[in-house]
Amino acid sequence: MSVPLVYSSIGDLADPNITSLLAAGLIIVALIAYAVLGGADYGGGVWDLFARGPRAKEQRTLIAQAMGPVWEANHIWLIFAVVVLFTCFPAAFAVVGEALPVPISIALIGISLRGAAFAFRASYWAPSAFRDRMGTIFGVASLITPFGMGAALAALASGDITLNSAGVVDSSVWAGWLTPFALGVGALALSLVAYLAATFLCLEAEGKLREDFRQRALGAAVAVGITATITLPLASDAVPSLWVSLTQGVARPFLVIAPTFGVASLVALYVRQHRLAAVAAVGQTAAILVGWGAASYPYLIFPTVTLSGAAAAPQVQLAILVGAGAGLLVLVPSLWLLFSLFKGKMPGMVVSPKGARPRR
Amino acid sequence: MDELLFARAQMGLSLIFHIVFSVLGMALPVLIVGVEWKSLRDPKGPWLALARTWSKAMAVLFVIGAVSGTALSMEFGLLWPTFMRQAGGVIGLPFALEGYAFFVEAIFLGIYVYGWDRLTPRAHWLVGIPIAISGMVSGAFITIVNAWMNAPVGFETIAGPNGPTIDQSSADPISAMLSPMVITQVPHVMLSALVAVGGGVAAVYAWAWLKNRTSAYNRAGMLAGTVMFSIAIPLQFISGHLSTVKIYDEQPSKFAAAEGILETGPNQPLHLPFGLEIPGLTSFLINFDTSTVVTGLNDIPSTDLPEKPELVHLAFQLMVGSGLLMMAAAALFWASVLRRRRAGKRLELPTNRLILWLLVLSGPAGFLAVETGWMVTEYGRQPWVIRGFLTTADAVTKQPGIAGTFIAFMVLYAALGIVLIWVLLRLRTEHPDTRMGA
Repeated sequence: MSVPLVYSSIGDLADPNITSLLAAGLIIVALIAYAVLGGADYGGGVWDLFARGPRAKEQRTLIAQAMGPVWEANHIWLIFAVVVLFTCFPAAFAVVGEALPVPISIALIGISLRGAAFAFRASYWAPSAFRDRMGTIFGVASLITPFGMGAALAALASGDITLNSAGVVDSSVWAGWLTPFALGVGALALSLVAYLAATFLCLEAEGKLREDFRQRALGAAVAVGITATITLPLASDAVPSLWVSLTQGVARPFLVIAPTFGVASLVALYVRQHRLAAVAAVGQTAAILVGWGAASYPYLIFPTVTLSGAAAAPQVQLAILVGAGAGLLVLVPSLWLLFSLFKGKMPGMVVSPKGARPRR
Repeated sequence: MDELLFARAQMGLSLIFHIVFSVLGMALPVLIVGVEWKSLRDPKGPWLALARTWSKAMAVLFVIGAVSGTALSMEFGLLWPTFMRQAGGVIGLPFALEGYAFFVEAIFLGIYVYGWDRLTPRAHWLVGIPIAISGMVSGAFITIVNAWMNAPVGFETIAGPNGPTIDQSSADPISAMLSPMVITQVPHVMLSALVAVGGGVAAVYAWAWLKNRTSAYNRAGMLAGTVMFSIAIPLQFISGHLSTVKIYDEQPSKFAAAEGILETGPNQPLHLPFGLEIPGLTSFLINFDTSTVVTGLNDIPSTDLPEKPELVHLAFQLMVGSGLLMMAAAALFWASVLRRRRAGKRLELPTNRLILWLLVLSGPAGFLAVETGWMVTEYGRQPWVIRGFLTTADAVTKQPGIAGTFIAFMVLYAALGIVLIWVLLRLRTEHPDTRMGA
């Protein structure tokens, strides 16, 4: 018994309507937030795993303190991107699920182990040997997850995911994400989150601890540079349409903007302008994702699924956009409160319903 | 066919696991806000210590709920891509709204758990309120999706080769959120969370009480949990009754399976375990008339029934039975309190071992009711995933290898569950009062 296809053609090349464009923009924004905030939390796990030297314990403590109050909220950006994708572009979500069960399952198991192990390790009442073991699981899972996500993202542009006439995936579950290019993107994603984490941690650390993370950030910057230099030339072969768009099409500026931010961040780090380095690192991450999106346009999955082809009805996308706008009215002040309490000037304050006063 | 079975097993396993943490994420914040409020009025009492201990448990429980929920959001696509093709555009909105509610819950949970010494007591208590509200609201949104799967609305149909299908271009996301099942399912799920978590908390401290650790701390814990589930359980019976009547109206196959009605006819008895029955009661409960005709399993085509309808009946009986046990526990508890009060004593908790044992059993009973209630609604809807429009067999992925991911997730959840229980047990013994008594 076969299910009739409910979409005329999910590879429809007609121009997407405005709600599809806005919904795609919303997904990109959520992915940028996730890559920067959630990404830094994975990077924190990586630096926890590689904590070395006389201050290894202090490094781990700082990472745990930096992540503790915010990482769960940071993680929800991923869920948000997923639900907007499956509501606004349901056919694309279905194809993603059919095409990439292996890297997605790996990432999901990584997400579960990372989060659970972090929480178990923070359970100070448990024996320290148990907590140490949880710390290792936390680090290893933080290493695997961004790698898997990067490789899965690369697969979407590879052209290796093929569909039958009914719009159902008929390529292998191993297609697209095990190519040298996809593995390179995985490595790039991993280096990038490690870099983000180290620059952010420079902001929270002081003295020698800050110097530790500065050195780690410099090391990660080299890794970002190397992985990008190796991966980018592979793109012309592995993801030709993306490559053409990046070198000759609308996405061309991002091929310059992203490395510029990267170099600016590195220079700022070198001269110990830590805030500037962090801002530029965020700019670099955003530029990579926006550039990726612009280069992929109008495809969600090349060359079979397009924005207009996979789009849900416009009234559905509109409902999501209105809901997202209204939701921001609650979300933005809540996020502001969270970050100002634990990341801003307020850590020295005690907050009451009527205002803040210095802590005694 | 085997692939379908593994996909169902993986989804079932993921939901059975996740629902425990959903329920805790909905109702534990309510209880914590309650005891922290008490602590503001009675700072010298045990309430603050309770709120602090529970917030540590809540932090760990929330993480397990969040990661298993993330896995579920992707499993919709990994296991049921055609369900997403058909349903995503129609019923995705409440998923997105749930995402928002969950976001707010995570933000304020971070502030709450890490903010004990950053906020004044009053400000800290206020931070708990959005956690409780957004937890309940996310539960409501997810239940709205489930209600739609049971009684789908909010779209036009077009002819397909196997009968009418959903016309995606006609999707009305607001109307889709107003399935006729919403009005009964949403309160039933919210109350189930209050009942299960109240019972679970009461059980922990009733156990300590049974071991003669009669400290003020354990007394307060037992009282808080019992108050919450005692308020919720009578309401839950009313809600359950209304739910069942609604199922009679909307999903005759699920009704017949749950109540174990074999032959169509009036004057249907209420089937109890061990072959016992109360004549006419099932018919009577529908609209207070024993002549009400109920469609039996004999008149329902096998294409509308799960493989083993008797499992739906068993799950339904276990759910109701668990509720009755908790009702008895609550009734005896408060009867004992009232009797002692009449004897001139202040509010004094029961020491009767039968009552305490009933409270201890209420812990697993509440969660058993949640799981079996979920079985009734989900397994009772089979073979449909969207009732009347898409079967589970047609929704499943065509990719091979689900046995592998099923085993991987089974191992993952078993490990997480075991470690979590161990960590929570250690937390319980951490508090001096629960460990040694006072």
